[in-house]
Amino acid sequence: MPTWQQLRDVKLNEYTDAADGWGKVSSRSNADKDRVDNEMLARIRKSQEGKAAEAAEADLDQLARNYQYLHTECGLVRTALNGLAAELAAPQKKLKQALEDAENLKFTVHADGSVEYPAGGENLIDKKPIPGGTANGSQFGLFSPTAPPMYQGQGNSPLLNPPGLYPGLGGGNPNQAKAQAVANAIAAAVREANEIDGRYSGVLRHLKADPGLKVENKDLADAAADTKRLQDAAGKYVAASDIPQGRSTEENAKWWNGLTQEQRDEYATLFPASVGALDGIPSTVRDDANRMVFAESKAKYEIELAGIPPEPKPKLVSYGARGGMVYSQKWLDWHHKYEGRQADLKGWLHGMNAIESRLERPAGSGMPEAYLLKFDAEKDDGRVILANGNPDTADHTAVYVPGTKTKLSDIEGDLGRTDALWSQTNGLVPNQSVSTITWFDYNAPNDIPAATLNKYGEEGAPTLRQFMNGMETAQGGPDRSHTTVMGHSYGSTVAGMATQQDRGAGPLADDIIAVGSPGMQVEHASDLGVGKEHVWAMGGDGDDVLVRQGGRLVGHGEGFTIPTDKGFGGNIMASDAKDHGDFWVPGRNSLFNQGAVIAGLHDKVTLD
Amino acid sequence: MDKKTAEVRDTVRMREGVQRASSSLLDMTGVKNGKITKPGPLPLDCDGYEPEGQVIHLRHSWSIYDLPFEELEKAYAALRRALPEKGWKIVSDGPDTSRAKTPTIVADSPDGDFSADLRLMDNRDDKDPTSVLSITVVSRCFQES
Repeated sequence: MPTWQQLRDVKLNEYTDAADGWGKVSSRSNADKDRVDNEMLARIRKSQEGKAAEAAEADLDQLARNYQYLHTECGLVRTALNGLAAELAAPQKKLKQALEDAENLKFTVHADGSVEYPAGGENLIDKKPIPGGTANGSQFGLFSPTAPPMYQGQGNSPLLNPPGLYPGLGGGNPNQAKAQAVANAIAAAVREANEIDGRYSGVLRHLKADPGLKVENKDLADAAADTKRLQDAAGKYVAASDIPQGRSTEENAKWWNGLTQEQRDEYATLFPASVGALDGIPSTVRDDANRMVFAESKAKYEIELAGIPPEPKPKLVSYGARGGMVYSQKWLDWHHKYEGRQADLKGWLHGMNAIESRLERPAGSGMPEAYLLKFDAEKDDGRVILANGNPDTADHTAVYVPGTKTKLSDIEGDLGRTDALWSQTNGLVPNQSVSTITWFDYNAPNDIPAATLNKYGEEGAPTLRQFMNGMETAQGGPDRSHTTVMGHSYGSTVAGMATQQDRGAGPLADDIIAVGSPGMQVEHASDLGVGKEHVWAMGGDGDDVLVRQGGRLVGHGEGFTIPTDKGFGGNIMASDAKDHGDFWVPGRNSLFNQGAVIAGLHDKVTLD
Repeated sequence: MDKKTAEVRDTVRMREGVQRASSSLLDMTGVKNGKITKPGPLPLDCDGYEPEGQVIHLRHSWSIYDLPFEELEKAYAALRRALPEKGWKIVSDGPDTSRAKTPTIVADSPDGDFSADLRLMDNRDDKDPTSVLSITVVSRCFQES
């Protein structure tokens, strides 16, 4: 427990200097992790084969995990030390003020915090000065400045602290009240410092690692717990409520730009999910924060999955004399307790593998670096926004909104489509920069009947609108990048509804593509706000026809018009005609046309 | 809608096949300078097949660029001549249905496993992008082994 002398003497800049050091290690670790993921892994794959390559890759994986852990944990130490110093500043200041007052009044402050005061005032009866004494700060809050005057300065010894006679008549030693105030201030400062100290040492105690630590899943999961602990402890220094909520993307950017680099690192380390989802701030920042969330989530789910006991056998047991079978009790218990959760975990991890293969894409692969702009495995069917190439600096940006049945566990298909779209578009404009983004940040309907409902679009549209606003803000304005939103089946309905949101912010994008659309909730292409010559529609592949016409019948196509109708007024692109020869390969025309729209080569789009 | 089935193939072999086809096409153009875009073949789902999620095809979308349009034109003509010589079957050859009427050739590989889509993209009128000879090689749909 700190004493008042320690509080007076503590050099807070020593904590902040130390924090700087921890911060540097944290940043370096992040950079080194990126190097391992993107450079070193690529070199290994190029130069090694077989078992040597596998072993080397495994070592590098471990190294990357170590760096991720360092990045988080050192960042937390940095913030803990900064928070401690920032919070102690206030009680230190109050203490120093009280000590200064005591000195000016020529009171003596004793080692135990009590304050000795001289004689003063006048005894009304014998006209002599009232003797001095010692005031004790209120340790327990009983004798506070707000307590009734009679009890102020009682301390714990009425004999040593005779009350002023007839205080109501104006007698009494004025020094006593002043000394009491000083003693109270000292006690309050020490109490405040104790509370702060307790909070932060609780966190710091957990931020210790064994030497030679090999970071495993449980360590990454611990890092998440450490983050939570520091969030709770450091709430007065850096709070989740500081992060803007429900504001415009310009306001988000303004808040971020107003922070120092160190403050940005602290918010990103302490609240990675919130910072990672903040529309309007740079994509590199969001990517760093979301990768932290991703790594910690993956560790947590793998631990949980490994902890689920194996399915008991037998599943069925015989019952009765006539050869009937029933579920065994053991199996039933397991089934109720674990089966659903096990399936969820397996699904999430399967989807996360697909994401991870993009995150760890080596630099020589020919595909650009991936940016994780959102990740949440557990919300609805999962949420992921993954960009190929940095959208903040891209000449052409495409946002692909998938449709019905999209879920995290199956996200490989959507990510693959976005990859192919990047490759196609890049081939058409190789000297320009391109970013293609998979945007799965809404609750998609799970089957065709659900896709007849508006509610998924109603919930998803504002989120898509905010995301597009945020991209525009991060890019530096509406004219910095040529943007395209491409909605697939129900995704096009969400896109259509998004154009009707926040219309004061301007058009949703420069071009809009609707693939296999059941309707966009507007009657005519010009209602989408981009100009009808910037609206492009095509049929989807396969049994999309049912989806499209079904949409017409349930009113996604307002006035029963859907984008592939001539009456809608948009460009109708050639779909994939049944090809020649032996096999039917989807996508030959559709990906080309989508690429041509995204690349701004509108005269090259083949029309129906 | 009836679901089709596809032959089982080794993914690595198919990828190599696509890359060989692309290399072969590059050779046929006779191009010595200019640049090639980098990404390799990428996997994509084939819908309407069983078992669901296990049938894919590979798509290699790349282009030759940073050459004057006349050079690209020559390369395109060289391709057209060389394809049948190398056993490829030209399935269509003519302008596409875009406003630009881009010359497009579609050809099947000798073994029938791959198909190439070749387009001579004339961007001389556009203010920024360079003209490109866009080449896309796709494999048939196959079940991953």
